[in-house]
Amino acid sequence: MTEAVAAAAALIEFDRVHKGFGPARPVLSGVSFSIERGQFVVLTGTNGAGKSTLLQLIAGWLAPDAGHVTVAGEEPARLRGAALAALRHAIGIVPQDPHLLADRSVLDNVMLPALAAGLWRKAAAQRARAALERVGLSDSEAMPAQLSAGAQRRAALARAIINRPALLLVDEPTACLDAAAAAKVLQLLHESAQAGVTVVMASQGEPAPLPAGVRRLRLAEGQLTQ
Amino acid sequence: MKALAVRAHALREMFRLLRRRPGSFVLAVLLAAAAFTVPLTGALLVRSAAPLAQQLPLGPEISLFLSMSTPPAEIRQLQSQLARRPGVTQVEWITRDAALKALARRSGNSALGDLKANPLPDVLVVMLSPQAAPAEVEQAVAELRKLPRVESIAADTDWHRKLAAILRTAAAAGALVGGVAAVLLVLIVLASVQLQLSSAAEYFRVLRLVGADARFIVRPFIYAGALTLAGGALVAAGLTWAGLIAVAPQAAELAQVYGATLSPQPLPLEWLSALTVGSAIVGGAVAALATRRALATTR
Repeated sequence: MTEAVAAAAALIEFDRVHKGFGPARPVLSGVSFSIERGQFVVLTGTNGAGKSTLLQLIAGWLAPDAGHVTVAGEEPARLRGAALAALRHAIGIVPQDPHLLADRSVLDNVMLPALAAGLWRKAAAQRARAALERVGLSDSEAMPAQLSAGAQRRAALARAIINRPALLLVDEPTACLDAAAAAKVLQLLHESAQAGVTVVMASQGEPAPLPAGVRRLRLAEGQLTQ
Repeated sequence: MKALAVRAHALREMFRLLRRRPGSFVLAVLLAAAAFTVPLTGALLVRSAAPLAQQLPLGPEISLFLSMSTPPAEIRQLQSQLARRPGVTQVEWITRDAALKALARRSGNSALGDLKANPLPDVLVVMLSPQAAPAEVEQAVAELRKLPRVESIAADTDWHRKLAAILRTAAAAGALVGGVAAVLLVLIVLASVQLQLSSAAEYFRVLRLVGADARFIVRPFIYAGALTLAGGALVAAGLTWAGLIAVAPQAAELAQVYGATLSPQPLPLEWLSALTVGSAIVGGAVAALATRRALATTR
């Protein structure tokens, strides 16, 4: 699966996707688009426009009500067990809520994907420190509760990039960050895209300054505008 | 190497799980030990009493009193003929002289030795297998009664009948105690794992998020379940052995009353190893089932 995600040209495809939370709350109404490998896509929209829903459809957390979502030719919502784990292994995900485990240090949180991939603790710790350095977090031994909301997001980003994924899904990574930290995160995402990683980033407003070559998509009233 | 690395991580995660609620883990191990103690005590008692059982005639005995005129050669022939019968473990010949001497010794009457003629007959004691059913013993008695030179016959079938009933009751009680203990052990592991799972929802969500497969997620819980039962088995083995040592003097005194010796026997190392490994496998399997069931609700 990791190889398939890395090799596919049109990595992500949405084909007339509908998704709602009950008949009274339609979120996506016939959304179609495709994202090619190595693209840096910024998805903007107001609060509740469906950005997070769209990212969750890509990650396979949600299933579309109608239409098809494919990632590297597979429909994530149909995957189960080892196949779903393999897809997630190839994707680095930074959810809106950072989901850091409270009973372990930031370093232990960040090294989890590397440990799940079968690395020894020492090698995983080395990778985790490097990832934390890339996102500008130095206090690796702190507990998540001791970090600010912005630092927690950066820790979640470090956890997402530790396994050098082929696809990065990041939900509001610059929220709660000061301008310098936000610029550093954007720079990191841009570098990742330049290195061949496909980046899909959701943001309420357009984060400034956006690097050149970024593709912009806007969600409004369940429809996508480019 | 990858297989070793993920197992090393699972072991570390297991200790993290146990450290979160050390009291619950210790309680689960002690409860498991209590459940193990009853069947283990039974096993240790049976093992310690095994030499005593060998000293007692467990099989039924049939005594054939022969006519006074039976010549020794004929008695020897009858003895070997009886020994070849199916179900017969031994045939002992108690000669008239030996019987008289034994009687004189037991009664303490030295005048018996002064008798002009020995009034006691030769006796052949036929010992049957302890597995012989009461009906088989009765059939053997009827057949032996018809043998030439046999004047009368005495069969100690009552003792055998009582022993068979006691053994049947003991086996049924043992099976019942074992079954109850097994159910208790499964429930103890289930309760212990459920307690750990009650706070594991976020752990499952994060590990699913980072692409961990089900085996990676479940493994620490399997190890914790295995450790709970294996620990319980070891604690129980230690407790029962200590208990047996404590009552050993009184048990030895009791055995001496029946002219036998009784000394406490520890569980052999192979038994202890099998018990520990078996418990670990059962504990791990129960934990795996419970954890996989809980994990199925997290995508």
